[in-house]
Amino acid sequence: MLKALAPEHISDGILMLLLGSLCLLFILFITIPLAVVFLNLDIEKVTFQLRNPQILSALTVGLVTSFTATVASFIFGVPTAYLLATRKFPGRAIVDTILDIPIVLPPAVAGVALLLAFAPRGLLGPALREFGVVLPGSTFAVILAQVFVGSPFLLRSAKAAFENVDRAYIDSAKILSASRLRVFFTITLPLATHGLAAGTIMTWARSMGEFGATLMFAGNLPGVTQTMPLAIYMLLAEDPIASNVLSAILVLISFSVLALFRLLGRRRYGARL
Amino acid sequence: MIELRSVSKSFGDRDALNGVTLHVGRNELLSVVGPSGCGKTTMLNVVAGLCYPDEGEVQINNVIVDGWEGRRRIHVRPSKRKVGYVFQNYALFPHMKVQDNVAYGLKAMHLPRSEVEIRTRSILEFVGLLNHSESYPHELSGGEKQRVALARSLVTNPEVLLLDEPLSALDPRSREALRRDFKNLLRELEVTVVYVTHDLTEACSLSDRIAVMDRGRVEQAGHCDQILERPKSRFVAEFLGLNVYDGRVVQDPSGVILIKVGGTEIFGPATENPDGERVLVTLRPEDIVISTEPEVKNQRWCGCTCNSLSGTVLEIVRMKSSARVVVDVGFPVKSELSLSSIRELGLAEGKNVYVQFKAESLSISPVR
Repeated sequence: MLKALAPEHISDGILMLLLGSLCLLFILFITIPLAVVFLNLDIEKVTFQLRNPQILSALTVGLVTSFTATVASFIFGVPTAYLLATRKFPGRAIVDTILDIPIVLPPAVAGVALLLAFAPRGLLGPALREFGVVLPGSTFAVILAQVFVGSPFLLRSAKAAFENVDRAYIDSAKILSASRLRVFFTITLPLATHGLAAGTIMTWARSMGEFGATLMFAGNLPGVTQTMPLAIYMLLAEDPIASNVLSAILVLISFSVLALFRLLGRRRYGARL
Repeated sequence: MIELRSVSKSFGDRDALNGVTLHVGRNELLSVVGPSGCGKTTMLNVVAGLCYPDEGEVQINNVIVDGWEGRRRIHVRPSKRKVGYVFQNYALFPHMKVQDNVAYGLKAMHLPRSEVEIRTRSILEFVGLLNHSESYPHELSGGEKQRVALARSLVTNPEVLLLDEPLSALDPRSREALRRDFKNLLRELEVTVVYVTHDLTEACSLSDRIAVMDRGRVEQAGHCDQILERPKSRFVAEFLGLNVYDGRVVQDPSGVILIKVGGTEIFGPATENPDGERVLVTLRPEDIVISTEPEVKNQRWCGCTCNSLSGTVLEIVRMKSSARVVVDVGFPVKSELSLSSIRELGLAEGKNVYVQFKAESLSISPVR
């Protein structure tokens, strides 16, 4: 009996060792760069940099645009996700796939695509100019780039959340005389909240970190289109400490958002949801 | 009152309902039994208005809720049918407390808050869950969930109550207890009930009338005893657990009626079926006596024409208080015996025994 078990134990040990070291290497690879961002910083440097007008304007532009882009993604994305999840219509699979493309698309390509569509010489540019709208170089262009790149995350997550709401709950509510609107707001939406929140946070994070498409489509004008990632890139050569401080701020924001999400996301209704 | 007329419904190329015609009287409790996939749930969904029938007509209390008026299609929405529905897994809203689950329908009807509160309290009291009104569904036991689901569907005073296997998710002990509760609860209400189950005992203990479904059809509907006595089709007989055989009537010139099953001729009951006709023969397991001697000793059978067939025990399946014994007499015969009589007879697989039953116990009907 012992003899038969022994080799198995040894191979078990080796396997655990292998898995453990892979896991450890991976953790180090992710955490070391994150930690190093804070290594060279002290309170003095940070407070000094927080008075740097370029950093302040990048923070403002970045937060305002990413927040607006997230709200816009929510307003357009949630109803679209609901329709895709609950209604059958011809071409649904195609629509579904197309709306997911920006997730896998290189941001530079997104930038080119947006330029070709909305720039003054692009497809819709002349029409927009009729109304006096010139997108490139405007804060609105930053928002458009962020929605383009970020909204699919919300769409995906919201769609999955709506699909996961058990049909029986909706049928029960209908039989209990609830109108379609009431069913949506009292059953579907509350049961999908978790997925919607996850998608919103992903979209917001993606919008805030957007670099390539923003740079190409909106440009890099401090105070107008220069978001945090753009400022980090520009400052890297001329003022490395400023760049470092801004990066640290972004890491902190990302970390607190994830922490908050985990805190809120604890399963609420027993095993379900 | 519920009336279904030739209702059909298919999903893709699968017929879920295939011309179902069924009548449920006002304030009657009808149990619908059948194997899984026979269309029971689809039928409830059609009555509730959750799915459109492809053909046929559905009436609730003499109002057409599904059907055609000339060429115009009628489909009354679920919310307008005054139906209560308890789903198989209860479908309690997981994010709402018990009282909010129960009050949901009343709030959807825009009743004043005071009335919502009063009615919610009284129905929770009725099902004995007033002290759980602040709990969430995941904090309740299976039986409690089930009573919340019942309360939620009853609080709006539906005219029709649909129950889809409401006891199937429970363990056998609480199922037994709840079945009694259920019967008493439903008796007190003035509501037409359709109770779907795959358990025949449950169906017969709850309701007087049952409908047996198979492959999207109602095979037979009627009183429990009547169906057990005279199953109309092979499926029903087999579903009821009876012995079912294909036979042929052989009229002896002297007037004795014999039935030929396989190669064996047995005494049959008086029948109008003509000589040589193929018939379906059924025999209830509880009408059979197993003996170790060829002579029929049962006093009550004195003077009756009896069969005594010799065979060997094929199989003994022990259950809680009895056992099912299958004897091969040229064809397999199922019978039910108490465990004590199995001991007394010393039954074991392979043992030679005699299977005895009255000719009158056989029920024969023409093959459909």
